[in-house]
Amino acid sequence: MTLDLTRLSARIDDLARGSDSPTESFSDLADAFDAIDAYDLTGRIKEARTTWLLAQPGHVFQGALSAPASPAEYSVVASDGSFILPDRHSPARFFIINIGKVVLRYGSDPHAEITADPEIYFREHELYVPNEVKRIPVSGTLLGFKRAAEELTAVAEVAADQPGPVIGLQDGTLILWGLETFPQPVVTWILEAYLGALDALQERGIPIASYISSPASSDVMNSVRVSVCDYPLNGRPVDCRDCHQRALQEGHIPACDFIPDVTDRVLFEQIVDLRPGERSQVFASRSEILKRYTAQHHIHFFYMHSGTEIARVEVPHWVAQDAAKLDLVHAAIYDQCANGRGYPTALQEAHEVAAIRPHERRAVEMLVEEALARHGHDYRRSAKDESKRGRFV
Amino acid sequence: MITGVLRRMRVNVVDSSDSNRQRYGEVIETSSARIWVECDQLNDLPPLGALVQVGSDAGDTIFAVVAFSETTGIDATRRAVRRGSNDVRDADVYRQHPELSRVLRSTFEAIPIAFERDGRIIYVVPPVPPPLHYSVERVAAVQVVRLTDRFDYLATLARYQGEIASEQIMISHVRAIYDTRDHDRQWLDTAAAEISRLYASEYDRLLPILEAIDPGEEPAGLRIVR
Repeated sequence: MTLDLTRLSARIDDLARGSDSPTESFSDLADAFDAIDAYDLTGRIKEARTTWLLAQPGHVFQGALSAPASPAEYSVVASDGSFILPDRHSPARFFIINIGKVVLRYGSDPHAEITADPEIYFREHELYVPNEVKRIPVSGTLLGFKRAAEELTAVAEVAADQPGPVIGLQDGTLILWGLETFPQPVVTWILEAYLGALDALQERGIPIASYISSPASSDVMNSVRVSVCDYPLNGRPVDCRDCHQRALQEGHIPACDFIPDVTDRVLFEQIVDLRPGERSQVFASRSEILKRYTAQHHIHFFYMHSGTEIARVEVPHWVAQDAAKLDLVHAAIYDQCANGRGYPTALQEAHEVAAIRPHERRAVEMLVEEALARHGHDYRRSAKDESKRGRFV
Repeated sequence: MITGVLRRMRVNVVDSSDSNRQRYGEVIETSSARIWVECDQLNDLPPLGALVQVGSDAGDTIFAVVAFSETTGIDATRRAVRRGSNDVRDADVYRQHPELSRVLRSTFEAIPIAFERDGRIIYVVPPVPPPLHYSVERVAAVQVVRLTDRFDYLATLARYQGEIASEQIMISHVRAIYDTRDHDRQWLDTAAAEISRLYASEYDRLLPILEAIDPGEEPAGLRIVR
């Protein structure tokens, strides 16, 4: 049966009507933001008992820094990956990761390289991570981490061959969110490759950054909440659970109640009012998985106005603390966004070359079928899958 | 028509050097009536009407006349957008966007008109289309002269139906060959006579061709023989 659009359209109208942007007053938030003292906040964060993720400031919390002039000569190396997933219905066990790699060089000798390298994984030790009790299949989130490691490794390898100045660029985050929930052997397996790539980049002095378009994060806003908490005024650490209990039992109103529930993006767009090219101060992330990163690779971040939107840029600690590297990242990313009509050109091209088209997936399936047949294996897909392919009445 | 499969599974690599200037590019679509060629270098297209050649598995050399060219994105779903401005224009746009050499491509269509086998040129559509992915190259001047000593193939050109009117291809071809043959006036007169024969019943199509191929170097007009 086809989708009943008539029935949906009335409800979709209700959806749109209810989505009016809240007419928040941001003046209180602006005052709270301006009043923050970075040292005081750092102390509060250290002691704080809260489940929210908090952003750790450096020496200064406030401020907007303009983009340095874009370097006349620079190269950007970017990668992106896509995969053909292990298919439960297929008798062959494998997955493919296609890594797109882009080099763009600007200046007196402009140059571009756009390549894609597919890799097929099918051996036992590639499909499963050995664990004490049982092996863990490389699928779902874990496959995503594997891809992230491959992408970063590709950038490290390609960037090593480029004349400077070079920056490496990734799409998304450098923080392997959620990896900490996996068993230790898996964490080690992924981090070995990931941190190895970061080591290689650091050794060669090539700054690496990741770019997040339309970020949904709120760690800086959460820190603003911590800054206005009244618990420290009473000699106690910030304690959101206790405060929440009191709110439920005693009708206590949290001191941070007046802070609107908005993302960091809104904060930097409306309150800090970053202008095109400007960036915020740098903050350190306190994501759980970073405890397993080596200290110099602890991920820091800043927000910047790309020209069309507020984006979040993440860098490892060794880049954040090096003014020259940080400036190069800032300037190059802004230039890439101008070049790419709002989104870094190198990331656009990496994505395009990595993307696997439906007809290419089918071609891979065909190749697998034929190879299996050639080697005498009976290729049979599951009954459920066959029922989808040969639909009948 | 056979189309290249899995062409995108591995994308072409680093900037090619100038060492292979004999080659225009590679066959990416092939059939008895036409071949479609992708150029190695962006915008490095043979002119309309030029002769190109491609080998075959059987050892033949197939000759074709360029009938159409275009430059577009390699991915049909990505359209070219304005990149320049008053301050950054023309060649500077390519310098500022080096990825353009990778995400755009120049292609051309050519009409097979003859093939050479064992040193003999046979003026007929080749028995088998040129293979996909074979190199398409410039035809050496001496070979152009040899090929165009006879006019048997002009009929194929005249009958061709494509995006550009066959008269335009005919004109471009004759002018190109006239140049390659060092303004061989006798050849031009004979070509004009042959073209007049082909378009004998279509005066309105014939006259513009004759006017366009007239080099205007000598006071005497072209002799039209019916």
